[in-house]
Amino acid sequence: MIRHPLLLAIVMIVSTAPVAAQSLLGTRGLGVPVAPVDARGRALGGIGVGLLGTSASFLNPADAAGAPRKGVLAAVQPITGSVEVNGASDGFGGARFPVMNVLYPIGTRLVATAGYGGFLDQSWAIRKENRIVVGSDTLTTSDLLDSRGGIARLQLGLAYTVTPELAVGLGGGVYTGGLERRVARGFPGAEPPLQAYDERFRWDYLAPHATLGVRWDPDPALRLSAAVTLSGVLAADSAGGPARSATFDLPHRAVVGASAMLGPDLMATLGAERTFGVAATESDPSQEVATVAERETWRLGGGLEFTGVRRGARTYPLRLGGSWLQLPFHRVDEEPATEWAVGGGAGFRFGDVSAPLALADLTVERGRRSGLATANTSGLSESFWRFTFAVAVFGQ
Amino acid sequence: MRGAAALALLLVVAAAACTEEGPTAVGGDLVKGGELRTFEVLLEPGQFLALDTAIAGYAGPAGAGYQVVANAYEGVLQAHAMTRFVSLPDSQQVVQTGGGTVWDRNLTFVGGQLTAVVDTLRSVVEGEVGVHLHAVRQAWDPASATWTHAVDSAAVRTLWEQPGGTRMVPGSTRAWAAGQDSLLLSFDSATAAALAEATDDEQGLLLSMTGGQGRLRISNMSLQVDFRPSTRPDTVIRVLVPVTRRTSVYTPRLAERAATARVGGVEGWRTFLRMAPTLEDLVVPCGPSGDPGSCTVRLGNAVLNRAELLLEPMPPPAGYAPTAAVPLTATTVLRPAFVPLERSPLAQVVGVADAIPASAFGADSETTVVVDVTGFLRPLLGSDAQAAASDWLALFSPPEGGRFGVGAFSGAPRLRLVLTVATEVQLR
Repeated sequence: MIRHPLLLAIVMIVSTAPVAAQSLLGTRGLGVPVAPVDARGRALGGIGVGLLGTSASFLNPADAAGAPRKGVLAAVQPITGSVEVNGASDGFGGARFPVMNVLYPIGTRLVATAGYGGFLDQSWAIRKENRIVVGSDTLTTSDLLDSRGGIARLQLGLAYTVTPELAVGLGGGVYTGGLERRVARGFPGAEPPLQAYDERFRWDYLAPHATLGVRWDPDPALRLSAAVTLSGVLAADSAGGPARSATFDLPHRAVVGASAMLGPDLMATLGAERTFGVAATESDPSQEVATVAERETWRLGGGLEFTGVRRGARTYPLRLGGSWLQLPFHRVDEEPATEWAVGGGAGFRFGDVSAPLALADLTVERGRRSGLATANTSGLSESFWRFTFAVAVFGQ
Repeated sequence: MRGAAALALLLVVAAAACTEEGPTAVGGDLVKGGELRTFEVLLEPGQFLALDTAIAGYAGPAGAGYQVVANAYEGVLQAHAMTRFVSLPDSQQVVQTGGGTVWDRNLTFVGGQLTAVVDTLRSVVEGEVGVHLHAVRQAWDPASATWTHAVDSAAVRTLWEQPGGTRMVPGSTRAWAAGQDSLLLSFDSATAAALAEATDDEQGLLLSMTGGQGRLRISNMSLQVDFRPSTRPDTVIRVLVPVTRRTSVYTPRLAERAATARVGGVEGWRTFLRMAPTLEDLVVPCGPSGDPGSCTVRLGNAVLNRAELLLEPMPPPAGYAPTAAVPLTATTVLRPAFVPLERSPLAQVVGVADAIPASAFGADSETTVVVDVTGFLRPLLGSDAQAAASDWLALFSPPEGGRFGVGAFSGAPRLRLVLTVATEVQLR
């Protein structure tokens, strides 16, 4: 076992390299939202705020208050499914690392956190075969449009226990990451052969953000949590190829969550997130491509956790939950997209279930995203299986 | 330990889950940015060339490895094959009737025989022609002799007393008709004596042709000489006399430069092309074939998929029609400072065309010769055109001088480009 939590943290940070995760909805705007939530959070509705017990989510920095031990939590999330666009279908798949968080108690009231997690994912790839006429030749073309990357959220936070019932948190950091768009065309079977077209466009992302959060436990069996994150302007700087630099306003977001013990071993949770401060989209009829619109969105989720299965010092939680969310980006002539998912999971806690020495969780979700229909097309729908694995270890 | 095993198992599963999947075959209509357009552009020489010229002199008949004999070929070409041999022996070891050998220093040359091997596939003769053998009767230089000059070196220029080679008359004659792969020309004692008495600078045999029209290609030649030893005057002894140098003299000779593209020929024509220095800034149409002007693109902003030089063969100057396929190779040319173009070394081969059939150089030919120069042009059109190895290109026919016929083309080549551009990739 990796005994030092920081060592595991380094391993996981190094591992947080971009990994292809495909959703064709990522072709819209800045991509598909990715919540920085671990396997437990995913099984309980995907909000990840206000959960009683240990959570890797850092959406509310106040949630780390009271953590008794140093620890590191991380998750990986493979996804596989099928996509249907205007009657044609194909498979897709990939993986991402949705969250990694380090907890570091300082004294009895203060806990420092360092989190790195998903925010928006722009990984997708499309291949098109075609036949074209060039001069007197008819050529077969194989086009590849490959987008890799996205925006991650890096956040340092402090959680302060004001009273045993009340904690506040402050976080700040940057949205960071990058995007590489590759456009390639090959000419299979061309005689004489033609050299392929292969161009890459790269951008680096950077934007500041700050979060203020509060957590209130009016009763040992009830937890309420809320946080507001204010985001700055996202700079997308050209980092290679003929990419053109740009800036975008990122929305602010407010998240609330609550959980309650319905019985000695049964917890229920509900949560919601709302984005706000999105600038109105102004359609430019002079543009050949319809303007991308961004909307203010809701993300809702909830679930149940049963912790009654125990063996010695080990607890094996069982979870059930569901989530629904609105995707922010679409073209002005397209129907906005939504996603729902239901899932279940199981876990393992070694030691006290509320402050374990180690944990591991697995969540399996079945979901569907759909949208982007226009007056002339039926749009896109994706059915997926999403698996989230999470592990955490804590010091003494 | 169980916890460690579980953790390790989860990490392994997680790592396995990171396998990338391929792109989807659907959704192409979702993406509007990054659309690719592949199109063709034909550039006239004036659009992409800063200079073009053809220069001869990279080979010559003395090093060609074959000889040419012609008479009124295509109405104009006269050519003589000239051969120098080692000096005839002035003594010979002779076996005596009673056994034993003696050195005989008083030989009497009584005749001989020249055997010429004819390349029938590359020889063109109408009807039957006469091929004549003569001894040369003037000092000459096999390395520089021409139709008009016996010696045409940098230091010495000496005219032939008789254009085409001063020769002894009479010689011997043999008829030759198409299909015969060799010529056996016997000569008499006078010719043999002339060979024996000639100085080293004079010695040589000359083949000419009369009657009919045609051009013979002699691929090899050998000489045998007969003599009587003074010690055994009743005996004729034949010795093989090795060839030392071979060349051809011919008229009319082409000027050393031409304004239209040429390759090949016994004098090794090269065509030099220099690309326009701002080729990457040339703006070309990129629209569909029905409306090419609906969009334009700077060449440097498009990706080059293929670049081809297009050459239109035409009949070469009279007498120089190719009789076999003409290979064509394109190479870059290095241009060191202070070195004239004609002496600039060739560098890297960048394109090879299919061998051009001789028939393509006919008057009615509609053949277009295609030379792939993609590898040469890509750096010139790239973002760092200054880094390109050379903007000069040479077209030639290897091996230089290996064919008497010249590959001629009407004007300078055109350039066909297949290019691809993408509409701007939008970030969102």
